[in-house]
Amino acid sequence: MLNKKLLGIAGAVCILVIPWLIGYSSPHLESDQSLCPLKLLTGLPCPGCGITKSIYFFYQGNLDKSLAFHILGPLVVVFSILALATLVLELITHKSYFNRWMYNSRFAWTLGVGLSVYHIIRLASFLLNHSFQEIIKESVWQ
Amino acid sequence: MSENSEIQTNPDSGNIPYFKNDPVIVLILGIFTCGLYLIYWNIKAAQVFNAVAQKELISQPIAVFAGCCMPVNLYFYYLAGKEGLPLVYARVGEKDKDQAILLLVLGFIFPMVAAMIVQGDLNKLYK
Repeated sequence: MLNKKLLGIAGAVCILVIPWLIGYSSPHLESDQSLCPLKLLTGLPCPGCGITKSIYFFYQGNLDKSLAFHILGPLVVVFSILALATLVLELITHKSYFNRWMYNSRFAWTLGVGLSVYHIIRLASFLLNHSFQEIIKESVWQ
Repeated sequence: MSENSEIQTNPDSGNIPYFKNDPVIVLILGIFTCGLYLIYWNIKAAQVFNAVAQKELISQPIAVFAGCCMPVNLYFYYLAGKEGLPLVYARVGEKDKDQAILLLVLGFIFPMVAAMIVQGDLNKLYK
């Protein structure tokens, strides 16, 4: 259990820090090639594509651009901070909080359907606004 | 959808949800649905692991984001390889092996292939 909590803390720290590191080390983040395996293979975004860029622009205070890259970016930041605080508190107090939500099947299916609907809309918009050549350019087959 | 209707049980597998797929289908659907299928796959795989472990091993709401989102997928595959699959091997009477590092690396490079390996091992529950 301790191992899982430490993994969770490491994961939350990575989610919060990696976009910041990538953003500051890359001057052309907006146009940079995505490292998502699916996008590299097909040129099409996966459900999580854009979250890193979204988080970076959220840190910059540019909410419009952040939401344009991925609607969940700001929520991921809030969730990661809450998860970090909760997991540290759980390690200190030896109690578990929010387990009702973290292990709730119904909540998982609701999140899954929400993310799927968002992804379908985003994919449709992506396909409508990009030519075949532009899609191929996003992949490794260009 | 009610909790009971979404969990189809196999009579030989106790209360383990039935989730048997050809691993190649997981790869094909993962690519052709642009990752949508992996959202479903991760929820179901977490459900199976939790049923095998008879405790909450992997959080299903976290598993939703393990389809493609880094580093959540690394967390999912590490837990699956370290704690989930050894329980599956024990249940089917196979020799224990630690797949955590393999799945972690594959989850980083190509999550769909990691999903294929996990699916292949989960299928052993339904033989």
